[in-house]
Amino acid sequence: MSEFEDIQNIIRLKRHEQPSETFVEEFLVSFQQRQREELLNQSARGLLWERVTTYFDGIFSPKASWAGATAIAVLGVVLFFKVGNHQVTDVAINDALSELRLPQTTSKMEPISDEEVRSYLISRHNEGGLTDETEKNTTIKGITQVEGSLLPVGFKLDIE
Amino acid sequence: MSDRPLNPDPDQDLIERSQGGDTRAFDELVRKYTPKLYGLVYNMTSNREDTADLLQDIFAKAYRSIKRFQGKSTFYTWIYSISVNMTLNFLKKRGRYTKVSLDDVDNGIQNDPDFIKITSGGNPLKDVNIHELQKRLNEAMMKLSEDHRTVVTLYDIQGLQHSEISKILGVSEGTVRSRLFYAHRQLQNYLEEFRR
Repeated sequence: MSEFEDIQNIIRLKRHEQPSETFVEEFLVSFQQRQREELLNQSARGLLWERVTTYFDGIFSPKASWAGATAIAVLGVVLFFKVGNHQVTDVAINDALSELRLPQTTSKMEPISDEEVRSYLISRHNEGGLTDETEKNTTIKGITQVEGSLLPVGFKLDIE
Repeated sequence: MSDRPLNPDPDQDLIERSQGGDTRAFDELVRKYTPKLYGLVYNMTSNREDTADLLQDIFAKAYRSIKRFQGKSTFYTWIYSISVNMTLNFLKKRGRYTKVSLDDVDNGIQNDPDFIKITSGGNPLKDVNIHELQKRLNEAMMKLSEDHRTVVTLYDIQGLQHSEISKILGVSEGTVRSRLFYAHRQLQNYLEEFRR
């Protein structure tokens, strides 16, 4: 017989403290309702965090689980920013390279005006180079070139 | 040595169905364990509103974790461990502030041999009011440390064996016995007037 038996017998009377008879069913209804509300209200981030901590709860002690979850979160943030920095660096390198290549490409050159195009075409037509002959009326032995009109190929040579 | 329980878990079928997504099976587990866990949490908090809230959290956590329950212990031990840990965490957060709100005492106490013994002739407290007794018992329990209150609740009120308490709390049986000894000695002082 335990020396504390009488105390234990008194304490056991606490078994008679009971919730109402309907408690269990009412509790179950509110539990189901809470589950549905949680699913609707919890943010994606909250759900992720909860699942990560719950996962580690089963593996480590409560303190370690928080530490583990925090470590994972920190690692995730670091990786995120590291990848972001890599992307920024890549963009910077590409910009620098494109500037270096600029003289070889026409990507950043001013578009050629219609007037300039016309002058090149005329010069090719005349094979006389870029002269302002197209801008003047030329009169050679009775042949009058109307301003803006084209002279035949080799005309200059014929003159010479 | 395997962690698996020697006897098959009586809740095995409900657990497997719950793990497979059968919410009705989990509801059955809630129905089965709510009265037992209510007793555990209520006797540790002495507050019925806190008990109901904590039970919601406990079953929500169990539901989220059920898929990872591997059967290394019985479901009974597992859900009790969750309950004890969450209740102890709650009590730490609550601190010393304790708002007592007690459940009604059922009529069965009138026929309880221990109650009859206390209130029988010759006892100076034979005319003790049931509610007064309830109040004094709860006050005495709340004077215990949380660890001591836990073992008293599990052993004396819930009737668990030392070995079961040891598994739930994750301490040796010797520690359980030691905590019980000191808890009983303290209670003896707090409840001296109720003893013969």
